[in-house]
Amino acid sequence: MFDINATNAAPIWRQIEEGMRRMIALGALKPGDTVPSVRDLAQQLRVNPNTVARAYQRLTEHGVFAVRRGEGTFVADEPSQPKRSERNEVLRDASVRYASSAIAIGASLDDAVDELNTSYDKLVREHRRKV
Amino acid sequence: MTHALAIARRDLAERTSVFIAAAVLAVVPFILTLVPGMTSFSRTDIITTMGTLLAVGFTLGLALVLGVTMIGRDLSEKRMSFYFSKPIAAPAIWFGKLTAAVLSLAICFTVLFVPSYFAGTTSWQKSWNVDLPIAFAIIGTVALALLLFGHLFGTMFRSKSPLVALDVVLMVVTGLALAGIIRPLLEGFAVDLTVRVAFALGGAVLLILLACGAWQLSKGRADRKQNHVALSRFVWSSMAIVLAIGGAFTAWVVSASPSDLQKPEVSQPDQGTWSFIYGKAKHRMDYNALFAYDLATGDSIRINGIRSWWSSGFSRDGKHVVYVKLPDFRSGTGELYLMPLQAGAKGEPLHIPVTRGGAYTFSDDSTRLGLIDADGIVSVYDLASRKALVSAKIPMSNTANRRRFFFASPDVVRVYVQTPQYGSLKLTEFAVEIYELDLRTRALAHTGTYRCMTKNFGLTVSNDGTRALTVERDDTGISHANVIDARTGQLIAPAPAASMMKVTLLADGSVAALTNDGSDEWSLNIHGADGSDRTTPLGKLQKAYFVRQLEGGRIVIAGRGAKDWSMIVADYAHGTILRREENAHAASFGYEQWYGSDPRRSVAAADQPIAMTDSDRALYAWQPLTGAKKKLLQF
Amino acid sequence: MNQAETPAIRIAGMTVRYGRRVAVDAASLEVPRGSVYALLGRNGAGKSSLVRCALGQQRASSGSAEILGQDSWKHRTHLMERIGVVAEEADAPPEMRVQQLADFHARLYSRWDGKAFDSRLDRFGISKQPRYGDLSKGQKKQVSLALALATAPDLIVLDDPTLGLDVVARKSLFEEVIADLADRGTTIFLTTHDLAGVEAIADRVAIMNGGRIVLDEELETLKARFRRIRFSAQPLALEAASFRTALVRSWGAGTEAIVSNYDDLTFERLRSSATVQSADVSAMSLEEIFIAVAGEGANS
Repeated sequence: MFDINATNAAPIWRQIEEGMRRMIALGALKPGDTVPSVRDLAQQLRVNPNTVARAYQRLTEHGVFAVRRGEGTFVADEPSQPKRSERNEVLRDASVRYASSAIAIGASLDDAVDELNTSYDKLVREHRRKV
Repeated sequence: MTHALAIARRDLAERTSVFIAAAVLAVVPFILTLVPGMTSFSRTDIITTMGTLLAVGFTLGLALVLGVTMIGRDLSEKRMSFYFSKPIAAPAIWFGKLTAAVLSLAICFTVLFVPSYFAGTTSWQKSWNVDLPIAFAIIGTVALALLLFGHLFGTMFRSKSPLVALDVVLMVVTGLALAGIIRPLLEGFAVDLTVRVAFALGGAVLLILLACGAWQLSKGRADRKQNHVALSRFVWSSMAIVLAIGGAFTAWVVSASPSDLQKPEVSQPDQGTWSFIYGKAKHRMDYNALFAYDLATGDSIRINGIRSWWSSGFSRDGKHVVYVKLPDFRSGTGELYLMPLQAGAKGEPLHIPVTRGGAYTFSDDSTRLGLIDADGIVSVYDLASRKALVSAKIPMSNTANRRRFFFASPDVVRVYVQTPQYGSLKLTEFAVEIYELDLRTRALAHTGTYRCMTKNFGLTVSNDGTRALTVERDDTGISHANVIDARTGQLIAPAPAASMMKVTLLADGSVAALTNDGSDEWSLNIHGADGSDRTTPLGKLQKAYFVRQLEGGRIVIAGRGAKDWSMIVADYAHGTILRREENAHAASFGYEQWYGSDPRRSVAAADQPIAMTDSDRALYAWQPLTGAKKKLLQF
Repeated sequence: MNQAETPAIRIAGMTVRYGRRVAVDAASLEVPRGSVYALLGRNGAGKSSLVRCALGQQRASSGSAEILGQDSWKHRTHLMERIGVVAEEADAPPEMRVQQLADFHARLYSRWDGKAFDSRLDRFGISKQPRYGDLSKGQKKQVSLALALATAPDLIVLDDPTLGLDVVARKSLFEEVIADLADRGTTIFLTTHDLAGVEAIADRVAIMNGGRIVLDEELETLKARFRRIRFSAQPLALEAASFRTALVRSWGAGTEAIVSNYDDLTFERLRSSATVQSADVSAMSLEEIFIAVAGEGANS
C-alpha cells in the first residue's frame, strides 16, 4: 500500500498513520472500506505488529478508523480530519525543517514556495496512480 | 524418565551402522573356515574361538570409543546446547546416553557372540573352560569400566583446561592411597579380606563413575570447561570419601590388639617376660597380627613381620628379638629387623637381606648375630656396627633337612646340619655334620659327625655347649636317646629313651625324661651323668611334656589329666612336687628346644612368669613357685 | 507484579569470565513481555555469552538471570517448555533426519504443533527427508526456527538468526517471526548484526560493547535523540549549544557532529548563533547510530 522507511526520522507508527491518512485523503481508501488486519499489514510491511497496532489505535481514537466487533477494522463512515490545531502542529514541524533547509542553501522564499508547489502536485499525482 | 528414554532412542538410532558392522563381522568366523590351510583345524573350534575373540575385542573396543564420544563429542562439537535448550533434565541426558551406550554394547556383543557360540556349544566350553554367566559378568564389568573410564579421561583430557594437570596429580595420589589401603591388609596375610575390600573399592569407583555424568552435566551444562570442573569436583570429592572410609577401615583392621586375636599362638622363650602372640584377628576375616607381648606388664608391640618358626629369634636373655619383614607374603627375600623388647620400642632395620627359610641366633651377650640362609651360607654380624664379620658356606647344606647353630663362644659359631648320606644304598641314612666357624681365624672347620639312625631326629645341647642329647625314633616306633659330645658327635652314653618333647638335658648334665611305662601313671626320671637314676611320681595323666627348667633344680611340666591340662612344678633335686596348678596349660608348646635355631635350653629365673591359658581361653602370667596368676587377656 | 508484568527476561549484574578475559561485564537488561528486543553488538562484544548464561546453558561468574520470573539456572528444565531457542551455530545432531527431529521434539514438548511445523517447512521449501547435516546453513536455521515455533513458546530467543541467510530467506524468517508475534503475543529476544531488518521490528534496542551494555532504550526514543548535524564553523560552536556529541570531525570547511540529545530548539539556537552561517540536520538510521556508539572511533 505504501512504503515504510525504517531509517526515516519519523517513527514507523507515525509513518503508517500518515500513510493511511494520505490514502484516505486521496480517495485511495474510501469510507467503509476494509483495512488490512494488524497481522497482515505487519507481515506485508515487515514491521512489528505492535507498531501497526499503535498506529491503528491512534487512528481509531481520532475517528479515522472504526472497529466492528467480529468483522475487523474499517475506514470510518465519516473519517474525521485531524483537528485544526493538530494539523497546524504537523505543518509547523515540517515547515521548520523545510525552511531551514532552504535558508541553509540560500534559496529565496519564492523559490522555496515554488518547489513546495511542485512537490505537492507530484506527490498527489503519484499516490493517485498507485491506487 | 521418558525424556531419558527419548534420548536413548535417539542415540541408538544413530548407531545402526555400528550394528550392521557387527553383523557383518559375525559372519567372518564362518567364512574363515573356508580359507585353505584352515581345514587342518576343527571347524567348530575355529568358529567358536574366533567368534568369541571378535565379540570380546569388538565390544571392548567399542566400549572405549563410546565412552569417549558419548558426551565428549557433543561437548567438543558444541552441540550440547541442543539438549540444554530443551525441557530435559541434565541427569536424563546422561542416563539416556549411558543407557544407549550400554544397549549398543549388549547388542553388538550378542550379534557377534551368539552365532559362533551356538555353532559349537560343547566345543566352546572346552576351549574357554569357564562358566558362561561368569564370563559374561567379567566381560560386562570390563566393558562398563572401559565405557566409564573412557568418559572420565575423555572429558578430562579433551577440555583443553589446565585443570587436567591437577587431575593427573590426584590420580596418582588416589593410586597411592588405594595401595596404602590394600597393602597393610596383605601384610597381614589377609587374602580373602583383601579381595573383598578390592571388590568394595572397585564397586564404589564404578558407582561414582556411573553418577558422575549426571552431576557433571547438571553443573557444567553446555560448556566444555565447566563440565570438566564439575566432573573433577564430583569425582575427587567422592573418591576422597571412599578413600577416607577405606582408610578408616584399614586403620581399624590394622589396629587389632592382642585381645582381638582368636585362638592365638603364644611363643615364649626361656628368659625374660616377653613372648610372641600371633593369630587371626576377630571380625577381620583372615587378617593376622603379630605382637611382642610383655607378660609382666601387659605392654604390647605390634610387629609387621612374619611369624613362623624360622623367621624370628629371641636373644638368650629374652631382651632382644629379630624378625623378618617380607615386602609381600609371596616374596622370597625380605629385611631383618632388630627390636629391643621394651615398651614403646620400634624395630630397626638391620639392612641385611634375608631369604625365606633362614635362621637367626644371638650370641650370649647379644652383641653378635648369626644368620644361615636358604643356601647354607652362615654369616656373623656385629650388631653395633651392622658389619658382617665373616661368612662361609656349609657344604651340602642346601639339601639339609635342618640347620641349627649357636655361639659356642663369642668368637665361635657351631653349626649342626642334618644331611642325607648319598653314596649309600639306603636313602634313609642321615648324619649330623658338626662345623665350627671361628671368627678369629675366619675358617670353617668340620669338627665331627653323628650318624643318625633315622630321619626323625632331634637334638638338644646343654647350656654350656659341651654335651648334646639326641632323640630318634626308628621305623618300628621305638625311641632312642643318646648323650653325645656336642663338638665331636661322639657317643658318651645312652640316655633313657623317650620321645622328643618328653626328654631334656638338665643344667648339671643329667637327662630328665617323662615316662609312663604303659599305664596312665607318669613319673619324672632323672638319669645323672654318673649313671644314677631318680624318679618322682607325677600322678595319673594322659599326656605330659617339659615346659621349662627353673634355677635351683626345679622343672615345670605340662600334664593333661582326664579333663584339663595342669602345670606341675617338680623339685628334681629333692624328688618332690612343689605345686600343681589345675586348669592351666602352657601357652607356648616349647617347640623351640627342638625346632628353634638355637639348640640349647636355658635355665630360667624362678620368678619369671610363664604364659598360661585356662579352659576359658584366658591368658595368664603365672608364677610357678608362688602360684600367683595375673589375668592378662581374654581370647 | 502479576504475570503479565514480570519481564520475559531479566538479567541483573551478569559477569562472565573465561580465565582472565571478561566477556560480559556487569550487564543488566529487562525484556518486557510481548515486545521485540534486539541486542546489538560487534563480533566478540559478548552477546552470545550473555545469551547462553541467560538461558541457563552456562554458569555466569556472577549476577543473575530470570526468565518469565524464574531463575533460569535453577529452573532451566521447566522453563524450556515455554522457550524456543534458535542457536547461532546449528547444534542439532547432523545424522538426524528432519522428520526424526520433529518426532524428537514431539516427545519432549506438550504444546507441540505438528501441523504448524509441516506448513512452515512447506513455506520454506524444505522436505523432511534429508539429514540435518546435509542442509545448507540457511536451511538449518529455517528448520531450527520451524521447530522452535512449533512448540508454541512464550518467548523466542534468536541468536544471530540471519547469519548465513540470503536476502530472501532473511525476509521470510522475519515474516514468520512477525506472524507468530502477531498471533500469539510471543516475546522476541534477538541478537544480530543485521540492523536493517531489525530496525523495522524492534521495540527496544540494547547495544553491547566490550562486554558492557552501553545503551538500552526504546528504539523510537533512540532514533529521536540522535541526529547528524553539519555546520559551517569550528567545533567550538557546539559547546555553547549544550549538545552531547558522540562524534565530532571536520567536514569540508566546517564540522560534522553526531549528537545524542538532539532537540529542535537547541539546534535553532546553534544555527542562529553568530559564528554559524549555515547548519543542517539529518536523521540517522539504526546502523549509523550503532556505528557511532560502538564503532571504531566511538568514545563510549
